[in-house]
Amino acid sequence: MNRRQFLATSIGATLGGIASFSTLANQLQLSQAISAHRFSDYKALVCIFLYGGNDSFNLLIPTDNTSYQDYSRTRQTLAVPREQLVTLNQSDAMPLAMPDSASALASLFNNGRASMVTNIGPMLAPATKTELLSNDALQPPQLFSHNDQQALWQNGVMDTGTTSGWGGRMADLLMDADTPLPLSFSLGGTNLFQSGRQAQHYVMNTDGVEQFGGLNPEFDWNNHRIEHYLRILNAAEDTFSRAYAQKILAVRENNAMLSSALADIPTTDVTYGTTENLAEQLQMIARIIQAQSVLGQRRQIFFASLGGFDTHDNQVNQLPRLQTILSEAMAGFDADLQARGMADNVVTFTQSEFGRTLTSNGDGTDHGWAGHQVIMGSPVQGGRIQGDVPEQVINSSDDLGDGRIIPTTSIEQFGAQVAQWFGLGESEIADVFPHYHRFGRAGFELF
Amino acid sequence: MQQLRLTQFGIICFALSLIGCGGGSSDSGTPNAPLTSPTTTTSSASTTSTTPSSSTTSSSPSVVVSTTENDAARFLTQATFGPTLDEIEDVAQNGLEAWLDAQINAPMSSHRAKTLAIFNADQNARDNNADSPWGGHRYGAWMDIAIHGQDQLRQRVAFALSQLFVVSDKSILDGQQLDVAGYYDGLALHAFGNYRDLLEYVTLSPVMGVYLNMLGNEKPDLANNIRPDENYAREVMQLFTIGLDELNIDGSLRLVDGQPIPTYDINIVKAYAHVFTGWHFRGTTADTWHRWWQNRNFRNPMTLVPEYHARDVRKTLLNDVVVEPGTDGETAMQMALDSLFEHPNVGPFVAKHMIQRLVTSNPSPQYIARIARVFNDDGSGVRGNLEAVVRATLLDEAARAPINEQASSFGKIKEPIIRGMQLIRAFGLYKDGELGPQWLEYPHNQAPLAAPSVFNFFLDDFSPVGQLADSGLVAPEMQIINDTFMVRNSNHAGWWSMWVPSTAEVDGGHERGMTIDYAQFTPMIAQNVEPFIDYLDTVLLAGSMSSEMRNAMTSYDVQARQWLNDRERIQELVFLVTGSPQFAVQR
Repeated sequence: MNRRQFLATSIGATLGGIASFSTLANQLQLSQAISAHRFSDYKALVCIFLYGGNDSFNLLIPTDNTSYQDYSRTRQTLAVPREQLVTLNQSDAMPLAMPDSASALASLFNNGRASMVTNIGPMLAPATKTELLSNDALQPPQLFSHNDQQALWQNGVMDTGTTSGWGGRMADLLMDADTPLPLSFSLGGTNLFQSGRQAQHYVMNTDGVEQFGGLNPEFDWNNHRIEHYLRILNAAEDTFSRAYAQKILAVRENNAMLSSALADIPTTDVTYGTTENLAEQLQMIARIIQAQSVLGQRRQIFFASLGGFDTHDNQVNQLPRLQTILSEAMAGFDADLQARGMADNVVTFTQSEFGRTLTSNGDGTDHGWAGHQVIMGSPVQGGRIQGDVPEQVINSSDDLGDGRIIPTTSIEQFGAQVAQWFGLGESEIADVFPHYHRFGRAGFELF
Repeated sequence: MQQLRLTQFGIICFALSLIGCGGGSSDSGTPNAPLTSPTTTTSSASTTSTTPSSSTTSSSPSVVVSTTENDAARFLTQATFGPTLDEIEDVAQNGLEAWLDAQINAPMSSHRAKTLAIFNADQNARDNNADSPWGGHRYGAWMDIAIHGQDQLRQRVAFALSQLFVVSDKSILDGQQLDVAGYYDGLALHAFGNYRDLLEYVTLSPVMGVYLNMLGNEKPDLANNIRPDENYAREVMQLFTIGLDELNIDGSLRLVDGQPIPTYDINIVKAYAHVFTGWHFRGTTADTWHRWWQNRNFRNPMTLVPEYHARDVRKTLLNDVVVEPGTDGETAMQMALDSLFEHPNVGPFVAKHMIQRLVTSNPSPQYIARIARVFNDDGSGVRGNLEAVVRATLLDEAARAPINEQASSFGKIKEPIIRGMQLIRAFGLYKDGELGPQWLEYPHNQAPLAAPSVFNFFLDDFSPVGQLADSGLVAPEMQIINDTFMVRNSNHAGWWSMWVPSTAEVDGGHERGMTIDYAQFTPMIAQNVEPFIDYLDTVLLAGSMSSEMRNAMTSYDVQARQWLNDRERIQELVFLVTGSPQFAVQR
């Protein structure tokens, strides 16, 4: 048994009981030396979080006559007209289409670059509508609450108290102890997904690495100031000042490393179909992906975000706009990665805290449960509908009430396959997703 | 005048330092009065307000009002957008309660009026044919009021309330900046009033109505699969009043069999959603309901249009309050607001928010409980008296106990935007005429009523990975002080200390148009650098500068004086403090 295996075993054992994350953190520290040279290949994950709760039942729309009529009757004024639909070429499920506002995504799907993971959401265990309605304890905690459901999607543990995310726990297992530079980078803000028990994430703006002015070591005239400033950092006494001082030191070091690595990586020459901020986030991510050989990181995890999906009002205008931004940004990113020769190494997927009610509130929708997500990249089996696609009918056995659809694929089932592609072993996957065993392997293969 | 006073301060403090100025552990010269003295305030609130009586404070150990300059500075760091020398001296001489009394009665600033003034003075906006203010104009008004407003306490509390009753211009409200400013004024107006009135103000505000979609929310139409919008119903419970789980008075979760108890379920959300139907811009009728632009009116509360209210639905609210079918919409609204206001969670929920925004990120359960009890009863039987809550929060023994008697984790990371204002207030803004538009998010990742969502700039339980999370401590502000903003915060301090234009450049029409007049401080370092470091210590760090930090500053100045003039030396020293972790934290 090598050290990593020993570690994995002891983690697995600890999780059975009341796992103490600080104990785990100590164990993880022991493991770091071995992770650095674990992989010979390079892989990256890119999570795009769609904040607000995406009405993805208006992204995948059934087209055969009966199903479309059901959809149209259920969604009323929020239904996408038939003439605005782009057919998806697939045989996994009933005939489906996307609205033409997402035509770039439909093209990715039809060209085998992307697939849909359908009817997925936070679950405590597989359960039927009857079971869920008769036993509240089977429902995930704080169902329908934005921040809590974001937490469940991002932490992969399905409780609201866990303070690490499934990306972060993967990073805990894979991070290189020799460098303070995290393997996780966020262009979409501080997030739980990338927070490990130990692993941090580097949160930056789309402009790239910014430099300290008065503390810039590249200029000699700052030297005396920096020297005395560092003395002041060392003089930080109380808990918060010390934590803040440590963060400044880490940022100084990471900035230097990252900006030198990015110096020779050109900005993209691919034209993204949108100039919205999400495209800028993905452009910077593509640059860092190309910089990985300079940084020496064999695994990287990225986070981007797009907000505005909480379409309680004016959904017929808001949602198509967002669908277009997402689709065009993802298509641009795919082309960008191909142009950089990195497309074989990167998997991109969306998350969103919940789907939305199939019922309307007049001009918008309310908080639902299950939804559909996109997965994209050369390693992915493209053009597939992975999972179930419920009929859009109220009060069906899929409907918990008001068209809040019960998920049939768990986040763990999705995440476990992603983690496996990323190179994690079985026991490591059990550490990252402690409740995966409740579901077993999904009935589809993403890769 | 100013120079003279600063010089005097230097001399006095230097002299006092020989006899223990900066100790902060005693309050000699001040009567050790418990915080029970009656006041006779008449705030703008519609509800009777009094300070906590002995019944609310006698349960805790007696509290001492310290009036050392350091405690005055610390108090003002909690209660304002940053201490000034004037106010430190005022509080030190007259005591905290006298200052609170004066503040509660101070005339109110107007964000709406100031936004308009800044917009009207902005030639660039006119050149761009702007027909209404931009975000930058409103942020400029906020900055101007934070720096110059005489009603500092009200404004600081309003800022805390703006992070509880969140609306944001990162929404359709982007085009309604003047109305968003008016909403902010509404929060400030109720800052010392009653929470029930504030809740009603917010609920019926068309700005909130647009933001969380209650405006135009219709009764159900089941034949067409249309149900009432649940957005306001959900968020008013989760974020504005009671939260997700039942709380004890000290803010901890009530547990049954080790499990938390949800405060509401989907049926209660739906019940409130039904109550919140039928409201629209004032002046709307059944005829004009769908032609809302005819009645567009952001300055008055929303009005009920009975035809669109779900009057015939039985609604079971919190605490089994039942709105029977046939009840009119206004009555239903009052019942709903009362049921929220009366929920036992509101006290600890509001107490924790105010403590975290003003004083400390990780308050003890006892501290929360003391403030929650004041919320529940201000001593004269009134529930929801915010003036009493604010007073109790700031005068509590936990807030006032000397730093050297506190846990190392007491205090908080300052909100970046407050830190920025504190820097400027410590030295004074040099500026003629109105500010230009201020894009506060660039340096601070934060601007008033501009959060990414109704969940505010950061979550109150955010805990950064590492030392703080390992210690079980939260530091909400660190959620927005990320790697990029560590740099920008430092460079913001750099700009306002070292790189600001000279006063001559500003007088000559420099494009940034504002600066700090550091030359006025040069007499303080003419003989010796210590008086100016004392000034920085008092005004910026409330006297908490360690000897190691002081030594680093004096040692740097010994070098710097070889090649810098006195004003530049001052600016370097200001940067060392305002760019430091010590200044980033409020103890």
